[in-house]
Amino acid sequence: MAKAHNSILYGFIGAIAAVLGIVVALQFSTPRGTELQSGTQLPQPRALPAFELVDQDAQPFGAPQLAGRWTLLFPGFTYCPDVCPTTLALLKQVNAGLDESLRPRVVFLSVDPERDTPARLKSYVSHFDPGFFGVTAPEPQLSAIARGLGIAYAKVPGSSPDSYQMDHSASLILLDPQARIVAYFSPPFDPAKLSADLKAVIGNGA
Amino acid sequence: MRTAAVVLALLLAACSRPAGTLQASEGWIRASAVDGPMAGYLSLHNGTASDLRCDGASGADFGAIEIHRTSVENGMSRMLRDQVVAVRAGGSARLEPGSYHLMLFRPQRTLPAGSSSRITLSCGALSVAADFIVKAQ
Repeated sequence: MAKAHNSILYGFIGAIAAVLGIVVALQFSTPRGTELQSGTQLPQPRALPAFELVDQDAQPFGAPQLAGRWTLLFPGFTYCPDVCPTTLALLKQVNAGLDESLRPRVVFLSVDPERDTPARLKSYVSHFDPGFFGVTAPEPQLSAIARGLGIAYAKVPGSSPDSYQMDHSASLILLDPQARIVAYFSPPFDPAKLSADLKAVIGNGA
Repeated sequence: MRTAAVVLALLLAACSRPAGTLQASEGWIRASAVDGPMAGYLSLHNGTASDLRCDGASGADFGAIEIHRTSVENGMSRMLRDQVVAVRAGGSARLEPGSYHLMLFRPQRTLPAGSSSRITLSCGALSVAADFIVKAQ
């Protein structure tokens, strides 16, 4: 009888522990950032691990090049004729509506270093706005920075070896003047909402 | 005599109402500053009495044309190949940025903004040709 009581007691304790465990896990795993109209602001800016990319002029591009200004990072690739140009055109529109002090520099991070040479990146992004900037990196540097940024990408074969496509995270990442991640924005993008979010976040943090 | 009149009336009706066809309009291509695939968009109207499935396209200015669709799933932007655009009888469909588009591989000539390119879309037994205007953005 006592034995039966004990097993019920232990079962009960076990159940409570399990529930507590889940509650604690949820507390730690749920990002408690601030909801924005088109994304989420992190509770605390998150520093990036050390990284080195190559810019559109074939120069090194790392944290020092991000310092001192806000950056809106957009992962994509130049053999992407639909969603990447659509987003870049939208970002041009968003930036045009922002005061210079609240305007982030748009940096296009190519996840396709195999085909996207610095010169090609420069032609591609400056077609939209001469102020837009292209960067990339060979592997394994690219996967390291992608991990740090919390983005993913994958090569998808096409109908011929050179017509492959890249699946990639559709988010935009806002970095502060200390090169830390401050917010993520997710599609579908609405110029007015994105503009309002940038004003709020950059305006508060500047 | 009566039969002839009916036939004539039907013929006249057919001539004055070209609606029983597949129509393409608002075709445009986004200009690109680099070599590589381009994307084309258009509106389709199916004026026929049958549902149509458009699954192919061709044009002299491109090495190959495929119908693709951009989709965002679980935060990933993906390109889905070999798509079919369904246009119901009497209905319309749009190929537009961020969704269905014509993937225009290997441009055979430079297509600056303002130029145009003729592309034929195949929808089962029917096909429709349209001039696509190249736009800067």
